[in-house]
Amino acid sequence: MKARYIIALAIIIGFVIYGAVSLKTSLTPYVSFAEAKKSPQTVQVMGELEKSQTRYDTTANLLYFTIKDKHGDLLEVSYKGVKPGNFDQATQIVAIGDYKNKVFEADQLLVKCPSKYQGEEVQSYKAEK
Amino acid sequence: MNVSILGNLFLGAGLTFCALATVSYLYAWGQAKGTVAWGRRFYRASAFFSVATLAYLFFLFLTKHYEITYVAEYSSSDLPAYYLFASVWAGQQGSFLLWLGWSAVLGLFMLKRLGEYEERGMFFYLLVQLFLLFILIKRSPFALAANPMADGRGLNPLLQDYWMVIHPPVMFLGFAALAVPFALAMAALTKGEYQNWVTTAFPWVNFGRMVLGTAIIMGGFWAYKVLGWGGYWGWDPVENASLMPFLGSLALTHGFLIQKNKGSLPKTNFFLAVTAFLLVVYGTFLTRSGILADFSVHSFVDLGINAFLVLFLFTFIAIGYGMLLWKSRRIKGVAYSGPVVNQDFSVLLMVLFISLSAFMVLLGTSSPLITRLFGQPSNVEISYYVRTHLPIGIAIAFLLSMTPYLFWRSATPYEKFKKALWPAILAVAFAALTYALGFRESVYPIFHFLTFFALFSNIAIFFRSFSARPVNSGGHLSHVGVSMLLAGFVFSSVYSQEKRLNLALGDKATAFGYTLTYKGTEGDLKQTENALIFAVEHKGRTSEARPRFYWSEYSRGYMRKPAIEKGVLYDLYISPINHSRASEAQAEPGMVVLADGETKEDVFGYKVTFKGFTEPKMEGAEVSVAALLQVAGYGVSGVRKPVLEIKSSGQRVSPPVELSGGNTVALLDARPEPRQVALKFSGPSVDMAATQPTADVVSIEVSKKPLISLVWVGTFIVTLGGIISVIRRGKDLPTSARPIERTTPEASEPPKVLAPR
Repeated sequence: MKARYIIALAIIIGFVIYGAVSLKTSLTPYVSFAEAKKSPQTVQVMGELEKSQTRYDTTANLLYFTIKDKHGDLLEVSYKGVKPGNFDQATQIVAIGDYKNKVFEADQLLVKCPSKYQGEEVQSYKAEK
Repeated sequence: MNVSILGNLFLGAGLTFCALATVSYLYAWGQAKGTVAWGRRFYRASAFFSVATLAYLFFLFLTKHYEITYVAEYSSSDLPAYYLFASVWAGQQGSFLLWLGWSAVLGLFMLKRLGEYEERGMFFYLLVQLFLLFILIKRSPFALAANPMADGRGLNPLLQDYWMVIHPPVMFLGFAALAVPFALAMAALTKGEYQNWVTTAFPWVNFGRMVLGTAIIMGGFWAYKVLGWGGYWGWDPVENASLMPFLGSLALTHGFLIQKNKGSLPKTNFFLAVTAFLLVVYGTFLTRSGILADFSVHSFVDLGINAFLVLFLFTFIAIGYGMLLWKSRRIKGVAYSGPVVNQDFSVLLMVLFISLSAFMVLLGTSSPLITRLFGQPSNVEISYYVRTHLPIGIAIAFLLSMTPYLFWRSATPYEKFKKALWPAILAVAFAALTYALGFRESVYPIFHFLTFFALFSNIAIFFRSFSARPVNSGGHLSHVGVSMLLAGFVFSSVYSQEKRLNLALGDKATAFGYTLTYKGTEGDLKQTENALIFAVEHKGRTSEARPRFYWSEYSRGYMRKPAIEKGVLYDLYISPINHSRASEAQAEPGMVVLADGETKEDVFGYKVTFKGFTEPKMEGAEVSVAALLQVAGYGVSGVRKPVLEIKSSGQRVSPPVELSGGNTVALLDARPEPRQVALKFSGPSVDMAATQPTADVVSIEVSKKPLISLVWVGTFIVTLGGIISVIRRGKDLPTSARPIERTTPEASEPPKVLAPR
């Protein structure tokens, strides 16, 4: 009886620690633009799309756009891949990635659009590698 | 009488009878035994009205009552009638109603099968229905629109699929079923009867688990086949919300096995029965409250019922865990004696690892809430789930492969070894074969071997058990399916390969041994059925693939549906990404990007060279810089200097510079390192170019997903095994309602020792 409980308990403790550590290392925190520029790790930023600043580099297959946070700060984001279909209607964009070479390189975009379905719709797009 | 009032009357009647039934059962639980009859009558009336409400909502969709907001939100007159089912549960209110409807129907079956737990069990079960009815009355699907429209808005094209017609009902049937073991656990705890309830609850747990599992894979199949998300599972909060209660019920199934056989683990089983149900409520709260809206692809938005959902959750946490804590000192299991490692211990470990899996999913899905307590909310990457489930998956595969031998109690070690020999040889052969074929990612070869070993061992014991007593073979059959699922999950996800192809009309490209030729489009890509057409050639055989790609006015975006070349060993998955017509329409017209020193020959009739920047001018926080452009052609020859000003607010101003014939150029963006400019040309030449037909070019992603067929075959087998288990455990239940007059219940019998499964 005792041996079984000890084995079970050891497994539980081991996995809970492992889970907590895994959780901590794979969190992508939501940060401000200023923090994103300093942070070496993968982070999430959120802002409104500045519509006039979007451009598309067809040769490099890169989309550049600028988002504005609630303080009015601006951040330029690059995203490798085709422009998401509902991009121009986006009300809010969440970019997940890191800040490199003076631009925020997004690995993933969550594009939130006004939609007839449930008021708002979020779609996720992964960048090409 | 208007239809809104009638709908709300149905709901009101449902609530009234539900409340009366609850009170009757509460009385019957106390002294007045005779009120059980009233409880049953009121319950039947309540169930009638709950189901009638759902039917009535469907009727309103069918008869196009667009003055009802919910009907107008999710359907329109041009929607085919069979999608109206999908419309009914496309929104929040309708899906709560669906849940209530199933709950009501299951309750009718419970009346006859709860035996001595009827009063208490039905009382707790009805509390769930009361909550659902409260939510529905607070947010009625029958609310009238403030400004009625002549036609509805229609249904999201993503949801116009037969999977949307069948997937949600199956899911909510599973959710509704998990309230039964919860109610029975509460009944047993209040009664002070800690063993026999397992027999009554077992078939319901089997049923709920089987239905939920099927629903989850159905959702995965839908995502894979129709939604074109590239996979069947994305660890999205909505998916996780259904996975957690499923894992809870799976752990409970194994816990029940031990308690049925040995009488051990009563506390664990109470805890799991309560938790599995609470995970349903918690998942509902997570996905319905809108708190994860920034993190999920398909959460619902807040409808103003958050307070209700929180109350729902905390009420049942308080009832469930409160009752368990209160009684926990009195719950005594049968102490275990015997060797450390035997079949019961392997089942116990299975309970443990499945619970750990549920815990890991719970932790990851809740991470935005947990991190919110400490500051900025953040989400976990998908890699978290993969990393935590790799060791759990290996452990489960190991236990699965050992189970057949541990359960074969009469055999000597030598006999067991002999039985294990053939499965082991086959597993080694398959593992070596897959290794040789290049499937050798980090520690995964161990996983491959274990899943193959588990598969062959369980196939062997299944046939042995089936020929002895078919009704007892459900568990083994499920294990065969689970082994296939594990192998399917690993091979199709870890070894999935992707390749992006850009093809102009008539172009050929090769991916994974397939030659794809782009043959053009079907229609103008503005109709629902429009698609891109590819000729796919593989080993001399040519077929046609038509992934759908069309503009949806409803979503104001392009809709994509993959084309899948199905195979036994792998699927070839062709996912449309973009079409030039789409990118031209969306990209800003007149935009040109030039690198340092680069010359472009024909930019709207001009030859343009980017020669560098002027010295940036700074005035306080404002910066301005001009690009030096050598422009020639169309009556121009010389340098133009478009300016980009960046104001202190961060605003960018790009004044256009004259070229010729009304054309202008402006500097949209300047990049110092590596030097690059984005220019915007405007004027008649640009407008003319925009109306010219553009080249027909497509961008697609082709991926190869090995052994994904095992996921679907495995699911089928697990479901089959589940059905056998439901029948097996269902045989232990009474088939007719308890007579009303009865003597006091006899003292609880000691647990019976039964054969495994």
